[in-house]
Amino acid sequence: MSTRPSRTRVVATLGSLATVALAVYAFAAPYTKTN
Amino acid sequence: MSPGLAAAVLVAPVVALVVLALRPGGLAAIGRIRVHGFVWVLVAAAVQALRTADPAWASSFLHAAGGAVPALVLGACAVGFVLANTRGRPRAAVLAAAVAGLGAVLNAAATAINGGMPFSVAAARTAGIDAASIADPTPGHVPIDAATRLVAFADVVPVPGLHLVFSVGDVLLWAGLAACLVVVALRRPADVVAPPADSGPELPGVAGVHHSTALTSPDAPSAVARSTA
Repeated sequence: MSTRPSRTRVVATLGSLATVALAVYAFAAPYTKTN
Repeated sequence: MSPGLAAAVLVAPVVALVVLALRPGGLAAIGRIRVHGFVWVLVAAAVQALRTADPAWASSFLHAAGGAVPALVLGACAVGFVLANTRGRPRAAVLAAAVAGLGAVLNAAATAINGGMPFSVAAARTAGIDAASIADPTPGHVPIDAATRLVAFADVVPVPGLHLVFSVGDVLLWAGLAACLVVVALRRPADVVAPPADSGPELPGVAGVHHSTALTSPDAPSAVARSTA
């Protein structure tokens, strides 16, 4: 049996990590310089 | 996106990946990371982007009730996102998600009550943010003054190298999300399969997990397959 992760699993994991990054953008409100 | 904001966005997933990579079997566990509630995050991100852009056509929404309405929408989306990630999760993951949600709600509360997220001018100077950016802050942010409420939850902690000022709520959000990712990834597939019908009452800490397949590895055999193997 191959131990290589399926493409579906990789996409699901990357999508989850991207969702977390987007959640930080949406819900955190750090102040940064405007330019 | 400024380097500081990019670093802030990436800190939770990067911390989680580093923690997992340092554990035995952690790299394989990364494949079990699953996060739900994407729609809540998408709506909130759209509102956040709108706040930052502050277009004239959205003025009636962005400035309704003194700017409180978009902050309340963000808070509601945060609660929805947390609830979407608590069903069928181990108790530690629920706790971590709740911490993240608390951070988001604190940010939303400080923003709603002040008409924008307050930031410390002194901290902004310490962070190296230029005077022009402080005098004309990003839409959605307001400098702390004598009338500011919930100052403890405002952006008051400077990060000089990244030109960033963050809040207590930001820390809770980062830590909660990173912890949630780690707990979910390390959850063994065997922990979430259905118990036998005659196994008696559920054990503490596993209540509610047997209806979920979200945390079960796609490569793991089903409960039926295991019981008949």
